[in-house]
Amino acid sequence: MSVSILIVDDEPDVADLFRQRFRREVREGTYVIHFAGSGEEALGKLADGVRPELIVLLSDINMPGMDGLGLLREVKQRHAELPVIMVTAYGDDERRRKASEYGAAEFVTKPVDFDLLKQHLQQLPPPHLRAPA
Amino acid sequence: MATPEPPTESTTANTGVDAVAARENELAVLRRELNESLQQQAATAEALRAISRSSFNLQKVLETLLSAAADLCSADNSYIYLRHGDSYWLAACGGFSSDVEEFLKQRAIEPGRDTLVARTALEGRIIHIPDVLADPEYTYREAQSRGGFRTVLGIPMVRDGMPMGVLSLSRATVSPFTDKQIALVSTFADQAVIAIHTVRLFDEVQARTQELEKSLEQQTATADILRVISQSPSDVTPVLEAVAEAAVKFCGASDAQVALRDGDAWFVGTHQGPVGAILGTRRPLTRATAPGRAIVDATMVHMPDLDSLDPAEFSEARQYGAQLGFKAVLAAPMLRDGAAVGAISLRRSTPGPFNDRQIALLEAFADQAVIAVENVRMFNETKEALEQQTATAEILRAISQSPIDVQPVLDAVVKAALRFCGATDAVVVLREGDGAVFAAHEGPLVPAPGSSLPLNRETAPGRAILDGRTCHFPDIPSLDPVEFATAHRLAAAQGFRAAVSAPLLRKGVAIGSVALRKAELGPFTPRQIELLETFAAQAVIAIENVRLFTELRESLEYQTATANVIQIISRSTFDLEPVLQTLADTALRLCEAEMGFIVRREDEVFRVVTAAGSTPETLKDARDYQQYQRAYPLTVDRGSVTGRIALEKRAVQIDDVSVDPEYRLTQASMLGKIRTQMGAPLMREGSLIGTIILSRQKVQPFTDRQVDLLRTFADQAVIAIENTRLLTEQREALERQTATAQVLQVINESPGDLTPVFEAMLERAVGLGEAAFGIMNVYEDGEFRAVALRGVPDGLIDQWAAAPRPSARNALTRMVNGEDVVHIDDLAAYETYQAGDLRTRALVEIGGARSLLAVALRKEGAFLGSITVYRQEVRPFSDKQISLLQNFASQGVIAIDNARLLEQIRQRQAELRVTFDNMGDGVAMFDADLRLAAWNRNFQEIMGLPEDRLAERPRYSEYLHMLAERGEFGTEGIKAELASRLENTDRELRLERTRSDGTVIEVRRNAVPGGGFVLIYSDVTERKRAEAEIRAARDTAEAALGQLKAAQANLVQSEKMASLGQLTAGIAHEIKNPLNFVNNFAGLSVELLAEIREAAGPVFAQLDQDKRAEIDETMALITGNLAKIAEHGRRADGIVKSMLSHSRGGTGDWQAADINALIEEALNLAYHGARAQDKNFNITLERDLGPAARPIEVVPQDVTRVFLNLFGNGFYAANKRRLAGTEAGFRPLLRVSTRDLGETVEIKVRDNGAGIPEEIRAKLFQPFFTTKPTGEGTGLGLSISYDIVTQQHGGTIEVESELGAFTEFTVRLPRSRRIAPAERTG
Repeated sequence: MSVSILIVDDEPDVADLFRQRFRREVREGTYVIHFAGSGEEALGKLADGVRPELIVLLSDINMPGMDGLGLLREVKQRHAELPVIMVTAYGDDERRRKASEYGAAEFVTKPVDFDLLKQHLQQLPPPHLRAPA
Repeated sequence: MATPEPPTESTTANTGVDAVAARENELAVLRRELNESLQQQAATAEALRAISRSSFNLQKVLETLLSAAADLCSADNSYIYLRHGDSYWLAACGGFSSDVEEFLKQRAIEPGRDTLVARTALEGRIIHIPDVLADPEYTYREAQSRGGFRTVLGIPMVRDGMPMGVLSLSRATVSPFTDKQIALVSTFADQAVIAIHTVRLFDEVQARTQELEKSLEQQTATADILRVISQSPSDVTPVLEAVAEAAVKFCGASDAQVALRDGDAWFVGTHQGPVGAILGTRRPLTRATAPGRAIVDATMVHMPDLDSLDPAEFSEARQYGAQLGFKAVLAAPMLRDGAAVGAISLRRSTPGPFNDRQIALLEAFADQAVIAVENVRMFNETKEALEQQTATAEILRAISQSPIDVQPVLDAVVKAALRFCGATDAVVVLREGDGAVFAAHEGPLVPAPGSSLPLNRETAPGRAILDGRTCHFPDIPSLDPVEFATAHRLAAAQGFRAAVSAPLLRKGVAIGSVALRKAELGPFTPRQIELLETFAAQAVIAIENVRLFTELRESLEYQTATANVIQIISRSTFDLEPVLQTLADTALRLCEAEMGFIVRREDEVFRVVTAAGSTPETLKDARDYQQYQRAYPLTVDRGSVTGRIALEKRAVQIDDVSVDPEYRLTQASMLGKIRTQMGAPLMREGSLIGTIILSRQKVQPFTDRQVDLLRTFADQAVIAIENTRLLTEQREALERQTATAQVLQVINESPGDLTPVFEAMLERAVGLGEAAFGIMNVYEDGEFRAVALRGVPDGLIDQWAAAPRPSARNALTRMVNGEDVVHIDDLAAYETYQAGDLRTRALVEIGGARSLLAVALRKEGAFLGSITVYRQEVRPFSDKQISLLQNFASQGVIAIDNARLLEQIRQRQAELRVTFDNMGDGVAMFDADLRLAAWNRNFQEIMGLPEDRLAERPRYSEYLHMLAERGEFGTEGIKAELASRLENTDRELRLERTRSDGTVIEVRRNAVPGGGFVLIYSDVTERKRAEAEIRAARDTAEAALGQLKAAQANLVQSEKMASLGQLTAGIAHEIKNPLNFVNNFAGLSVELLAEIREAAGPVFAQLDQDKRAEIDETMALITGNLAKIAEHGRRADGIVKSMLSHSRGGTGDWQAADINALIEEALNLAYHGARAQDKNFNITLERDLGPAARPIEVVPQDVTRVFLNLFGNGFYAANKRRLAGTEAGFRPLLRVSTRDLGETVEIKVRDNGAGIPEEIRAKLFQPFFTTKPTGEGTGLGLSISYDIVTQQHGGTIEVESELGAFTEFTVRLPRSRRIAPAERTG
């Protein structure tokens, strides 16, 4: 049974990177990868509903328009149960603190250690087991 | 005398053949024996008799004994040798011819075996030689042949075991002595011993007695001498005479003399005896005479026979001996403290030595003579000291008794000098100017007190003064007649022939001298001279005392006088005369003058204004002099003291005006009987205003001190004159100011009307100008118009009216032509009068005017009018009066001007009203009571207020209510608005109001001086709109500018290495993202390739080998490329990471660390790092790690990073220079030093690289700036180091470098963390 991963980043190549890194999982149908170029787009996609069931949202922090932290707040207001992993090149304490405060599940710094990321993903509860907010 | 028996051999007893015969024989023997015994007894008795008889004559006894012995023993010869020391000498003999006796007498015999005596003496027993010719040991052949003896007998003479001599008998034939004879002779020998001993005892007693007698005599003599000494304590002569007498008496001399030493000479002091003597004459001290030698050598000199002396060495002694008749001399030195003060000598007319006793005695006499001489000397010294003390005491008494007068002291000095210095007379000479005067005199020589002595080196006193040393002329007639001409002249005139003078020295300078003069020739003794010098010193003390006392007294007098003068100056504020009089009186008194004058300057001449005299007579003389001078004022030339002072600007003295060739005031000085004159200048601000002069009617120049004193009086006179001048000026100024003020008041009180002003002015002008009348004219359109008259005599104006226009030289015309002041001393003598000008004639003849003063009223060159005042006598107006009149003229001008201005103001006011009404703004004025006072038309229109309401002149509050009623202020808060407006109406107010109709008005309220204010209303609607537009535009522009500035500031900030953080981080992140892609995709591509290889493996296997190989190769290339991409990506990532760590700042922990340990560690790391990179790298490391060992609080890892950086750079720079290879023998060097600076630690890192150019040095700490080739440095090392040191640690980092020499980085880190600014701000 497939689950979706929504990746939010203003860099389009991030989508390619993730698709290629997760190509096996994609090929095997473990994950379906969705991509949004901005926070607003991501919120739109969430509102429209993502199929299959979304297991995690990965978001960059530095983005034009709504930044990653803003997106995190919005998402947590609307979909409190959805795990959000922040992925950023800025590993500073301030951002870490805010991310944690807003309810991020993880804080991953770039360059992304995909092996580690995959481990995180595997530990995420399946969507149907998520406690409703 | 007994007949000698024939010598017999020793007899033996007969064997009695014939008993009878034997008996007879025996009887005969007995008889003979008896006979012999009798003879022997007789001889002995004779000997004893001889002994007793000739108790004093041993010789006689011995001869008697010998004679008896020879008789009894039938000897041919008999003799006695006596021992003297070790030798035996013939003492007595019998039976020898005189020549044999003489022979024997002259030969001493030593103990031995060669002669009888010698052998007897040697063996100490009786020696009997039957035949000397048969005795082999006997060798005294000469004596034997002369004496002819054969059988000899020697008996030793012994007493108390000591050999005394030998008694011998001899026979001319060989005939030995019998035992009896031998025994007999032995008794004689014993008797001789007794006799000799007796005689010796007797002699000893005799000698002792004699000695005692002599000793007694000597002691008596000594006692005599001592008595003489005690009787004549002050006179040595009697003592020496007694000594000489005693010496003659006790020393067995025919004559004695005492010689005394006097320096290098000696002379005979006393003489006693028949030998001639040369008394008193001084003779040079040589060793050629006995006394001389005794004195020089300080030893006894004994000359037993002058004739035997070496004629060369003792020529003098021999000469005196021959001359005076003596042959032997003994001289004993008179020794005091080892040196001879003289000698006492004994002389004899016959040659021969003096014995020991005499010598000893003479020594004793010499000692006594010394005692006597010494006594006398001490006595004399004591006496002299006493005398000197007495003299000193007398002088001191004189000093103490006359503290203010030196004369008694000088008199005492000369008296004492004369009394104690053994002179004919004594004088004191004092220096006075270039000469000297006799100040004191004592003695019978021609007295000369008061008379002068030329001060030159031709006299003793002169020399003493000039040389500052005592001068001694023992023999003036013998002095050089040219060099000592004065001394010769004075000596001849006053009758002295020797002189000595001691200088009176004060502070090394001779102020005079004291001199002793003698009528007879001869030197003064050192003692007299010494005493004279003492007196001189005392005289100086006295003079000094008197001088000090006098100075004190003068100073006191002077102060009192000054106080008096000052008192007078302060008392007589306006009246100068008494002040000057007091000054002149005081000056002449204190300077001991007879007349005093104060002279004032009047332009180019000087006049005596004050005269003073010490007595009524001299005062009269002084006044005569002044009177005369009045007619002949003094001029600036050398003809008078005042004239000279004017030329020289300093004090001047003329010692004697009657002989001064340049002095000209002969008439005046005769009137004043002036001889010596001295004066000082009165100077004010560098210019001469007068002089003060002192005069004496005799020639007696003033002393320097008096000149000084006069100068101070001059100063006081200047002060007094100045004071009076100032006071007078003040008073006059006050008068003028009062007048001016009055006139000004009039001007003020009548602003539009000039007439009262002119009248007031003229009234004061006439009054203060001491004029009879005055006229004030105004000049308009070429005409004069009288505007004020004061005291003008009747008829004068009428006459003028008839007169034609004033002539060219008329005062008024002259002023029109440009003169400001016309001053005519006497109109009657003036040219216009002379020329018959009618106006002038009218003035003089009708008005009685004589002196005229006219001043012009002139404004900016234009002639406006004049003030003229007239006196009815010839008395010129003073400068002050002229200036006063000019002052009034100026005020007249002002008044005229004021009147004109007032008129102009009135006109302007009218114009202003029109302007006011036509102003664009609305204007309303409120007066001090805050009532509406005035408004213009626009006000009424803008505010739309009805005319009638305004005409009521509402109060400000009513006015505001009026506006409020009309809705002018809107609806809200009107009360508060009004209240605030009503407060502080004297304060300026400015506000804008948008009215209900949308128009905007500006209201300004300006306070008016003296109360009230002006309200100005302007319609500013249009303006406001335009302003709003402009403001908007401006705001936009400002915002843009602000942004620009911010951007610029940011840029500047970015430029600065301290603010690297944000920029770097931003850039780093921006780079990091694409880098991530590069790395990621590169990695992915490798994976993908592997997947292709895997997936396409079977397909590839089907391909032919070439294709497969090509594909494999291509794939390998791709893989390789990807690896390269990944590698370079990682490199870039490394750079980015370091940038990020930089931007993040230090993250390490603060610790207390040992800076030196950190440096060592970093140095090691850097060195090995460099070696790892380049095997050929080498460098000399120098460490000078100072006592910075105290822990320092740092972030060790960051500080280490800084050090690594600095060391790495240093290594690089030094090594680069080595690699450049241009300097042979260059050795790279890095020197690290630390130093403890207390609060901070200093670290210096110095390399000997090529240095950093000036232009680069500034960029050194900028990020990304590097001098290394691409890839070798990031350009961040120093930038990071900078941040670590300055930002993180609050320290400093500086660089110093010299091209081609060195680069040195200096890092200073604070010891403790709290100083770091990063901590304070972060």
